[in-house]
Amino acid sequence: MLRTAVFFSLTAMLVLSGCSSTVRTYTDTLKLAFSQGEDAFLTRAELAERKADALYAKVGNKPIAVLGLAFLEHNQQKWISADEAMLVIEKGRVVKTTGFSNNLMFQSNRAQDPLKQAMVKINQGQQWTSHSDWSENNETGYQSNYEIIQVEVTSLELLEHSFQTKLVTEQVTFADGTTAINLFWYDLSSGYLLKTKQTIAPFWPELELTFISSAGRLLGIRNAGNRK
Amino acid sequence: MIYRFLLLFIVVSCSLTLQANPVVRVQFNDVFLDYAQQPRLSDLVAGVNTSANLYWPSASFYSLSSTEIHSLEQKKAKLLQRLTELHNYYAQHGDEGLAATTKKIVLELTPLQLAKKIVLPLDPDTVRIKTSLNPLIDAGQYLLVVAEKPATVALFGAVENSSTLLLNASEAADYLSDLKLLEGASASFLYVVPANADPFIAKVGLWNREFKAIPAGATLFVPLELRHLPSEFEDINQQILDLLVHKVVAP
Repeated sequence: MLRTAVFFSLTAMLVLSGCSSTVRTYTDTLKLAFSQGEDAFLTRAELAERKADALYAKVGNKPIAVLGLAFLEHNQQKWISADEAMLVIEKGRVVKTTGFSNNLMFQSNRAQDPLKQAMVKINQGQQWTSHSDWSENNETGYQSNYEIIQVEVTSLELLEHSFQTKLVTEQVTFADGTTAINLFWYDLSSGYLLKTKQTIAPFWPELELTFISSAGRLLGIRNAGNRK
Repeated sequence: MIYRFLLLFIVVSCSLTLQANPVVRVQFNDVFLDYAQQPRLSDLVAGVNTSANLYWPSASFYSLSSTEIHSLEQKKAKLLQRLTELHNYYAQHGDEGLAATTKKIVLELTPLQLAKKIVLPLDPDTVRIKTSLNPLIDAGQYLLVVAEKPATVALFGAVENSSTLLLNASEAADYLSDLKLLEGASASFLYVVPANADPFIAKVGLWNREFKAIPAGATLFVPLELRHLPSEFEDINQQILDLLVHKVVAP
């Protein structure tokens, strides 16, 4: 293979100078990232001055942490915490993590996720199936079934403002038979996802994520920039 | 105008010089990534991180140092010699089934492409945010293999199949029903060689079974049962494993 390959150089790079047993392990406990302490919040002024977009992230009953948007690539947002954990979010869904004791390494079939659609097309009854891979025991292919069970209009308070939102309620059924409810709040006027509560595995506590920079942008606190 | 030509000449000359003598050269598929100075690991993986569908848990990184490849090839030659002796031993003792299994391993091992595998985290999302996981790469030539998530698991050793489908939510013992084991195959354990981690033993016997998942991109090595091995060949499975770790996996 090596010998027959046709090689060429990327000269651009030259400028660089510098079952039961199965279920048992699948439900192992999880050591969480994000430092202990008090809830973190940004003032309007801090939000306006930040270079990178901010995300409020609450993992289970841990304090709220502020994550910064580190990378935007492959239609994914990559948010990092001060303690070097990362949440990779694709159209509002956490599809990968790093820095935790048992990380979501891969989620299959993501193109079928109804959340990939424009907000107006996300409707009750839409379903999809995915398989996930986890780092701790090299476990691969754990099925999760998702179904949107309710869509409603509701208000959401952020930055002392009441946003009219489309609340999408999704039920997820995991490989071990347990279920969880995931919630997604979309700003009705812009379609921006403002907040979500989601459970990515039965052994993960609920993740509560607030896209505070998006809210700030809608209120004119932050300039329009990279989005979604 | 002459300045433009001069500038072009300088750029082309520098490029050719660096192409000829890069400090670090990394092959990825059919592409060479050349670095004039020692890059960080994050620089290498960022250079090939073209899609969210690349499955980094089964990525592999190899040194293409000719010294190391030569050393591995020498070990392979010695191992092939020993396996041939083992084959002859079985043949002389009328154990045709065991001789055939050994012959199969010889034929399987002979064309194996080897390079020194370097086990370290490769996922760009891991290495670029953690300084401790982002070392400077030593001068030399390397091979980086990463592709979409493999759908199959490679097989090696006392087994007829060369691959089998990667099973969802399963463990090593679940694979046995899909494998056509050859005579002399171990019924109690397998060796698992992950693409980017150290090898480990998976106990799959009825009496010793334990949960070990098979990572995507791994190679399952079905060893010879110890009781079938003459005492002077008791380490043959370990020797095969030591080489198998350095098998170059096709993307």
